[in-house]
Amino acid sequence: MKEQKKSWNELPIGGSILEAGNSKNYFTGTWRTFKPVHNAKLCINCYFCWMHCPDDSIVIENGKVTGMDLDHCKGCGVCAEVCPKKAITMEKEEK
Amino acid sequence: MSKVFEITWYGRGGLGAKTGAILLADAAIAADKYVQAFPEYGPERQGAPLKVYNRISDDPIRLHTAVTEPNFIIVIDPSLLENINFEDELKEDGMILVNTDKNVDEIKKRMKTGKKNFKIYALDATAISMKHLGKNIPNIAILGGFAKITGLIRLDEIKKHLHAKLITKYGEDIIKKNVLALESAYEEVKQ
Amino acid sequence: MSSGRFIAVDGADTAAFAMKQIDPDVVAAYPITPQTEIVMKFSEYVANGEVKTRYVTVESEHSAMSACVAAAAAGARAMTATAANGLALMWEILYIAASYRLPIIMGVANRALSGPINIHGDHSDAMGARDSGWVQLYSENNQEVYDNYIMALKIAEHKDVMLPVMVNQDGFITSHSVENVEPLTDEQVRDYIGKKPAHFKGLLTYGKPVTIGPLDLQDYYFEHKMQQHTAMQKVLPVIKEVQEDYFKKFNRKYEIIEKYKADDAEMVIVGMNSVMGTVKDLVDELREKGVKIGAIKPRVFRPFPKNEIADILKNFKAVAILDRADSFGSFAPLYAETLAAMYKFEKRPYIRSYIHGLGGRDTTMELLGTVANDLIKMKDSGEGHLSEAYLGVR
Repeated sequence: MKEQKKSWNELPIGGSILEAGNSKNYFTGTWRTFKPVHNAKLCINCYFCWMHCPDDSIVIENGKVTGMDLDHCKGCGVCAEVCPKKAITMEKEEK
Repeated sequence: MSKVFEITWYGRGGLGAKTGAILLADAAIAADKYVQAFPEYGPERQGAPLKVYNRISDDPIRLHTAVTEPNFIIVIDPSLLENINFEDELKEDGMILVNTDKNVDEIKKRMKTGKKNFKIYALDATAISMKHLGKNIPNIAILGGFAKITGLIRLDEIKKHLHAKLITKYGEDIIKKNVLALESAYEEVKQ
Repeated sequence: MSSGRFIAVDGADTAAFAMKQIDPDVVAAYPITPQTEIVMKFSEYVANGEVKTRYVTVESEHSAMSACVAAAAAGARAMTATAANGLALMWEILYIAASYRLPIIMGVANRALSGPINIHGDHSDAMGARDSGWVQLYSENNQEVYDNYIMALKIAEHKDVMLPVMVNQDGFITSHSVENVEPLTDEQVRDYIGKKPAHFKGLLTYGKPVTIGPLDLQDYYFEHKMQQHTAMQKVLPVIKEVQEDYFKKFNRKYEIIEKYKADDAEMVIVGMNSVMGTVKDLVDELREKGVKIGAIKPRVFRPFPKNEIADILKNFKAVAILDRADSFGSFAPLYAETLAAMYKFEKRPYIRSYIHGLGGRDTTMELLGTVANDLIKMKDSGEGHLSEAYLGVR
């Protein structure tokens, strides 16, 4: 399946991007070798992982960390590194 | 090609040659002439010799070159008199206005005029400037002399533009003094 | 008695005066001889409250152009001015301004690029920037400087263009020469330039955020260059349209390539900016002696009016091209591009290159007279065809 990209006369001029927040449509989740796995039992909801995540991929619902947005998480492992309770571990991606 | 009247000012930085040339252009434009006024720029230093040019014409001026054979030479600093080769630089029957406290016969001896025929005028613009302005800015007096000699510009037009140029920076008093310098130069210039 | 049509003003003040009447939203500039007087005079207008412009003082030309890019990207009418090394320092940002399709207007008081250091007029600065994607207009005299400024805005902001425009004039030779200029009234300029067109939006569109200048790699950059390439191709028809409209409104006639006494000429001298005034005087002088000579003055160098110039030149016997810039190791810019444009014809005139006036060297009537003499010799014998001269060099 080949993606059809737009031709020069269909694109907005000057390389501008006219659609806001379109990085959501760009799935960087496929880049991972290791994925973060969240253990809710150990988690104290300190949000360290949320603050450090460069891809905004820590999902918080009702004030609690509930998991990872694996569509966009690139598997950098910063969340596991900063977690004071070792509630996040990096596990080999199964492909 | 139209008849263009060309002027070269010989001066030194600080004597107001450029301002004089611009005022001359202003006054000529007021008479619906076409003009140019531009200096030959070297490094700009007070006291350094410099040349400023004017062109005046009834038709649009298109030339964008230095003036090399003017109809009129103004020597605003007499110390430059010996350095100017009038024979080479001035048109036959050209006119020379010198800022000097000497009379025409005296300065003639110091000038390289060769065989060409020139009309030489003397005006003590420095003395006039010292008397009315208290300092040596002889350009305005020179313009008075130029107006008298050539009839190309009118005193009232120079006055008008002097006013416009100087009013915000210097005020009425300085303008009045400049006007006095202009008027006495008009009376005093001698062939 | 005075009709009051004209003001006596030098080229730099003319530029500042036109900027005042345009009253742009933002001016960011850094002074450099011989442009200094433009921004000095304009900052006076700002200080006196005669314009509403936000004047940004910056610490370099690089920042001046960056500030203009930012302002124009935000949707502001932005202007600046520079010369020589200042233009060189803007270099990378010039490309960005053009690539982002920002209709910035910049005055350039053309000056030699050092070294050895020289502050006087030649085109080495603008010629170096000729591939940056800017539209380049050239001005023979102060009146043309004025009219080019006013028209530049209409060209830059045209929906088919949206490109920055450089208004060139010769440093010192016109920038510091007082001449007659007949300006339009403030109201005329205001009505003519009008409000910013709807397609020139920029970033400040509430509720509809956009990104300008993102990373653009192998998969899209090429397409964006094609857009720029195509926009440049639309510039000449737009300039023509703008000039015709300007003529209709203000009775001032300008053409992309000005022809002077060329209709029945056998020989022509081609060149840009102030020297062409002197060339016209020479043409008149020689015409009186029966010499069939004319002058051709491209007012636009980017985009290069290749078809227009080739079609004009093809019928002459001999052509001299004056370049006020060298292209070391190759043909001088105007010469090179004219040669390339002429290639489409089988029968071409004899042609010769003259590099002149570098560093403000006076290109006199006498020197131009030698060019005319060369043409007279070349037109029948072909002597000197394709040769390159440094006009008047010792």
